[in-house]
Amino acid sequence: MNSKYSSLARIVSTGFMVCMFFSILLFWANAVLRRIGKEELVTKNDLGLHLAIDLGNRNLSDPNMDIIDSIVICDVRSAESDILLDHFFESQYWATTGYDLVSYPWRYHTEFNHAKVHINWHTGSGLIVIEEEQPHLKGKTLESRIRYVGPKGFSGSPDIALGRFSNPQLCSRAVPSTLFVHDTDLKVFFRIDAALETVRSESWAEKSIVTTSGVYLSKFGDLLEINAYGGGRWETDEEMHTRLEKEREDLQILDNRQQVPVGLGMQMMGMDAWGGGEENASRKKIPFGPRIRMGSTDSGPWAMDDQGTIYLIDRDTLLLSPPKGQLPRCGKEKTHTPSQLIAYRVSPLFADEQYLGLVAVSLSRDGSNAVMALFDSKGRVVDRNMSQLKKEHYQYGRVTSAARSVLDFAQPLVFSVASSLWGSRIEAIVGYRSLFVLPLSTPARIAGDRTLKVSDRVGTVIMWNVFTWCVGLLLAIAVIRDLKQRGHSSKIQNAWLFACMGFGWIAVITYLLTRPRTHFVTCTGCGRTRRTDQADCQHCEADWAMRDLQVPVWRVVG
Amino acid sequence: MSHIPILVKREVQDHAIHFVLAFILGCIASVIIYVFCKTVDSMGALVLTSGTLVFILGQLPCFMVLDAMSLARVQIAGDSRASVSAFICTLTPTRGQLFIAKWISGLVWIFLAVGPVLLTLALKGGQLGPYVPLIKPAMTGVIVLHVTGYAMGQQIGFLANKTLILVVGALFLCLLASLLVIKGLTMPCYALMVVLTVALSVRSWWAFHRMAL
Repeated sequence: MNSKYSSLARIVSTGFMVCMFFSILLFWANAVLRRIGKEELVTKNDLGLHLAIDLGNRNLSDPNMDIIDSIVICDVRSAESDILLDHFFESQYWATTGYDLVSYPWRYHTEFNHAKVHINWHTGSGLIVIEEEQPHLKGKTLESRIRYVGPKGFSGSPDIALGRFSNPQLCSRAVPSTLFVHDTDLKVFFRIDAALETVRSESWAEKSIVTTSGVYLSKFGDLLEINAYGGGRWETDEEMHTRLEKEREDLQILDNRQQVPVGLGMQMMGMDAWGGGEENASRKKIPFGPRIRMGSTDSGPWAMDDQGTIYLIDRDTLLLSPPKGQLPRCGKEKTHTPSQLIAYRVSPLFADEQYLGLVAVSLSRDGSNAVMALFDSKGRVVDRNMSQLKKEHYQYGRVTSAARSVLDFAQPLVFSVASSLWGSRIEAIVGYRSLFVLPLSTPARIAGDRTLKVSDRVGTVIMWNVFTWCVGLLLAIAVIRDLKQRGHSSKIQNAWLFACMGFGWIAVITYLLTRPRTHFVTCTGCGRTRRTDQADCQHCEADWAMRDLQVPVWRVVG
Repeated sequence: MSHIPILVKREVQDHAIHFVLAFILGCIASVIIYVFCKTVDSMGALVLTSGTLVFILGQLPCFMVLDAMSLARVQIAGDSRASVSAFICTLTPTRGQLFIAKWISGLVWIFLAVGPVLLTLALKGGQLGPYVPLIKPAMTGVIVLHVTGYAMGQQIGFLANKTLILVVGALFLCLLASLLVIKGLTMPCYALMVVLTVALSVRSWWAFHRMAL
């Protein structure tokens, strides 16, 4: 390995390390600034729908009809909450139903004989494993019954002939013995009947289903424990009241945790449904009651394609219904698909086993816009509500915003251009974890802002990158002056010029860490500094020999 | 190349305490896993929780990263201070062979630290039921983490100032922790760590070839 190659490798490797440190520093600085901005949120915008009015105040006859409840439409743990390992960025979107929704799943009590069923997906074999734990009777422990399920059927032992699920997602387990699985890789729905030990499948090749209403059988092995093989009945009033009382206590604890405004902090609408006297109290404290689950796995599976169109799935035929709604647009991005949203939620509304419509909520890539839409049973938009975070409405909002812009300026030209070009194409949830191409940086947001004219967008992004380039140029001038002083060749100077213009501070720090340590003395030829490790002066090309004394050209006059 | 096994043996003997410690810690972790594999509650379910498993597979080896860094630092700085490398270089082995021997001994250390755990998981991991799919990504992450930690330790070994050693060491640990927190136990995280390891090794190779032994 010659010394020249070694130096280049060392410079590149040092540059990568500096780049890593620089990107992580910027990442945390941005995360902290986002945190400060949202923490000081003092104004909250409403986002909610009065379902009772929107759906025509239907009066259904059901023993549970007297429950009027608030619902969690969307409970989002954003990427930031994972990153910061806390719940700072947890966002909950609340809306009152204002509607006497039936609560079938709650009133329907499953009597189980202590048999538990564990459902796991084994990545190695690609099989779903249903393990039924037998009840413990009089000290006797019976062995668990294990059934392996593949796309082609059931077996008592893992068998490759059963096929292989590649990424199954549990859609519904409403009927204890029936699993409803969507394989997101195969794009096939499977209906697994544990009682009959059959597996049915149906696929829609023309649809690219991106999500369903399911629970992921994750690769980390979610343990799904269900009470199976038991009978069901309606719970008694006493049982229901006991349950509701316990839920109130549990939710009260949760309620206390929600005292700090979080995320976009949705105020509830339709407070008259709760009684006017409670309105003020409820603005500070969400009046928890028995929650009715909308869009839970029990209320009917749904599917969404990659364009955000929502379908219902027929449990028996596994066929998709005609489009029942569309994920509402929000944010300023050019394209609008589920991957461009940091979170979304779809909640089908069922009453008395009849489909009423669905609520869909979208949260924009940067978390500043949320849109909720209500669709009727035919997929028509009944109501739509939007919420937007305005910088001027929260304390330190402008300061943190300005500080983040300054940080964006610190981004080197290469990353800034890459963010402008490809930032908006990165999946929103991945973008929060991106270190080099930043979809939430100012140039990326401007480039993806579909509310601006194309000329404005392109012009602003070019101007931004020109400013970034100017910062790099100033840094390059400083580096080249140092290089000249050290007598490096013009080839090396040009290389560092382009490196500094492209990578800005990263290149400068890399240069400082990798430049050769040399000593300087005053040149006897020209009087400027020269390196001690070179035979000739880099300025006047004088050697180390002392010059002869010369007669000065000046004379003392007078 | 025939010198390398002897050089590796020397590295292991000179820094035996690190290797023994790694093996003991690895055995402790594997015993814990074995016990949890066997322990079931009255209902016959595993007592092991995901939190405990994350601690065993994740945090315990993470503490061992510090030992990996320490070993690498001592290998570079200690040999230089005691003029061991200078003496060896007067014999037939070259600096390149010395450096490769250090890396191989580092990999041996990682094998001793992770080997018992891997062995236990291979034999008894099937009993962990729902946590089986968690094992592969977690153990991959642990191994990559150790290798990167070792490469970072080598870089620290070239520093002489104690304050600088502490500062750079803390920075490297912050970098590792940040990468894990931001990217998670995912392939992009492992890829970044591998590239980082290569970058650190290139710097170490360059420095080792030019340092005064």
